[in-house]
Amino acid sequence: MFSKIKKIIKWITSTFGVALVYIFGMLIFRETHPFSRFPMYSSFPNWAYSFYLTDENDKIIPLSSLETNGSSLGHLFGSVSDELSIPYGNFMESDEDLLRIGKRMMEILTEGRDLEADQLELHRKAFYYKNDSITGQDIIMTYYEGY
Amino acid sequence: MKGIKGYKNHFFDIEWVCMKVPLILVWLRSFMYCLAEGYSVPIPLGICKLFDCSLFLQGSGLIFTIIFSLALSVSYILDFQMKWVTLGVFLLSVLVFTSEESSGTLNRNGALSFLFLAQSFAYWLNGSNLLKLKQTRIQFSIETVTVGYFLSACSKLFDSGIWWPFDGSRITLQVLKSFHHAYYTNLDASQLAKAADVIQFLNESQNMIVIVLTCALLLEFFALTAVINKIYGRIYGMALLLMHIGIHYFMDILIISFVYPMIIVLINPFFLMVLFFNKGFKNMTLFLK
Repeated sequence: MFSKIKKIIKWITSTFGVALVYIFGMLIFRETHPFSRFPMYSSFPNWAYSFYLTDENDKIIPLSSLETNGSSLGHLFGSVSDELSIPYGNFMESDEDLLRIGKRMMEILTEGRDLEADQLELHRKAFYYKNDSITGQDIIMTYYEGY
Repeated sequence: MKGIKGYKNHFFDIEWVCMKVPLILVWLRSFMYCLAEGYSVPIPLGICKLFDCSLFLQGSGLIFTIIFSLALSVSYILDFQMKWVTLGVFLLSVLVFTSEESSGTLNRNGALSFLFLAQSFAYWLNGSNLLKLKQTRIQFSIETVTVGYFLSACSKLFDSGIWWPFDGSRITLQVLKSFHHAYYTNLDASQLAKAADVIQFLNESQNMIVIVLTCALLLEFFALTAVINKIYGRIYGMALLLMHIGIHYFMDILIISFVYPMIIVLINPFFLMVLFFNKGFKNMTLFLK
């Protein structure tokens, strides 16, 4: 019996040893590169945020002109919220929270860049289900002037 | 072609060559893309909390990083000093991709970095046993790729429970978000039109969503079983590829650092092509041995 268990353990470690190292690494270091639990779409909450910028004429600025993209801006929102220890999601952010997060996002986005627009507005476009239909909500998080 | 008889899988030398060359090229592409972004590490994470990672991304530090990464890549392709080279690629990878994450961009390069540490394990543990080395450097790579899927499935079960597929009706919000991300990037209005079509289709296919998500969850959860048998692993890789194609079509999401290593390590298409061109279809069964 004991030797059988020993054999099974030996088989598991020789077959999945590296996978186990990664799992233990993830449990110890959590979301620290190269470790991750890859929580992509691990839940489907009733909210989804997207972010965009407009210029002084309310025209949307393509994010590629700032060498970024929509997905990165979404991740930046999460990273900045974590940095500022502001819980986010499900519309729990107050106006003040959004202003703080927005200002920091703008700081990072515009750092070291020559921008053509004189004024930038950072918007949060949110989607959620209300009475079985998708509803959109647009909020200006912050704006910067004088570039 | 001489096969290596391991305790469960045979791996040919050519398989390793067909795997390592595209793998290092995929790594180099992601790596150089990162360097070209000129990240300034505004939100230090991981090792970037310990020292200023941006030193390696700007000025003379950047030149050093580029030269060092190219030298490591060439050495890797030439199988030169692999113990140190794989370790070096891993460390450089962690440094640069942590800098990327510290700039608010999340490209999920963790498994790609860890692949080289896993290969380093093979060289350090079995450097003197060539037969075992030839087996473990591929086996460890497969383990690294598949453990990512396994953990992703565990996250779903942990965060949403076993009923995760049944929450799938709200996947439409995520689809809408993804297409808006694409729209705001280049202002390509066709993205919004595509979003409307996909959402309408998903709304009319609620039962199908549950079935597809259940299949995806099962595929991810049992991904580690692909380690056990090589042929089964290839078929499993093709099933995962189908899953990624579906995700890309419906959600406009393609995590290159996840998908490409999976294709290269699990399916190894270049090895299959070599077999086809060298031996023709009738000897394609070689890969079954």
